[in-house]
Amino acid sequence: MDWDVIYTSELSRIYNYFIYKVFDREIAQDLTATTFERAWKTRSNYRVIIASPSTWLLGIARNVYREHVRKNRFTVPLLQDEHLVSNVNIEQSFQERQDKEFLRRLLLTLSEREQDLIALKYGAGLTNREIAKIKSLSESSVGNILHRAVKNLRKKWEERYGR
Amino acid sequence: MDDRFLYQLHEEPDSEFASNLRQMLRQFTQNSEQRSNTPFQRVFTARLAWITVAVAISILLLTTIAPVRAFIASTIANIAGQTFEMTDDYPGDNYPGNEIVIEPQILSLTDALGAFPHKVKLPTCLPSGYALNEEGVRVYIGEDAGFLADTIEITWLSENNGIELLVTNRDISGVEIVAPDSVTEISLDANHPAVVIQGGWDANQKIWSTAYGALRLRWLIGDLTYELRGTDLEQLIEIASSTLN
Repeated sequence: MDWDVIYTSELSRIYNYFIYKVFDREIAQDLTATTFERAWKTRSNYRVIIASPSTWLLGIARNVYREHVRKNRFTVPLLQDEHLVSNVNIEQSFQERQDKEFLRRLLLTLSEREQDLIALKYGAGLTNREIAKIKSLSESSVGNILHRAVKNLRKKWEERYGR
Repeated sequence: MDDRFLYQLHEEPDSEFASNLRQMLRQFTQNSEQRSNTPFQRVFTARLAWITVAVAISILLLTTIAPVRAFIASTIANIAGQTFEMTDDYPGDNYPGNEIVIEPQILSLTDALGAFPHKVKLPTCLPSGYALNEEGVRVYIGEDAGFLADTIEITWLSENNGIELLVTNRDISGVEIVAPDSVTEISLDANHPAVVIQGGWDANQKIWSTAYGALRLRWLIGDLTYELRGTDLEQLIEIASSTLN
């Protein structure tokens, strides 16, 4: 097993899962580092026949996220501009930053379950089947929940942008 | 359905961060391999020393630091698909000064059910003497509802008692901290397991208390979590079962 290859192929997936969960680049980096550290420490227990590297790492990532929420469960994230993913790169156009900020606010209106499915789908780039396996749901349930959530988000998006 | 707009938050990790993390993991790998190549005697001696130190520290922590003692004494259990951490140690209060107060919308039942974005299965069976508290249907929806979003609370009152039904679309996959032996699993029918939670944390006494006979019965229907709160378990089971019809 080439762990360097796994790191290269999975880093973006894990990092973006956290970006869609916490909307904060610094926190996403911390949680990503914690996930890989934990994975590397326990990798002798990993068996490819039980789960793909993606599924295994996302399982660890979800535990890391739960612990993060548990530690911060009585605090509501402050919407400070300097911490927003959208504002980190100063070269991004104003419109792009506005779009990202609006999308972030839309995602915050979702239930935790919907947010998690969106993070796994659009952040981690998993298929509905892979998400179903991780969430212990049927593939059709995942499809239905995502369809409903995306439809609602799209409606609000189009109300604002008309596109 | 066009969902391209949802990829807008996607970004590549910062190259410096990626490089540093890779370096750290490589170092970790090298250290692990070196350790595995060390002669048995050296490993054994080093491990023995570490184990001795770890045992000494553990004993010290176990006997002196309450949170560590609580962590070690606690057990995690999955009951009816829900995760509970069971411990005798009080889990602590909210951080003073940081509490977020989220005010519900108080609506009539009809308006509340209309405003709630999910179809709620109301109980068809209620004990005699109980009537809906029309003034007390609380709905948490919209951006202002924060982490309580998509929750509705309905209360029925009798002369001396009350029964409350909470329905939510919130993800309840997190761990709930309860006292040992306070949670049991029952079946409402063949497809609907439920958990019964007896008592709650007493913030004044800092202990788990069953003094008021409070019971919670929790089950799932589709994506929604239902929780009944009352004092008579048989009554709660009867009410819960009537939502499955």
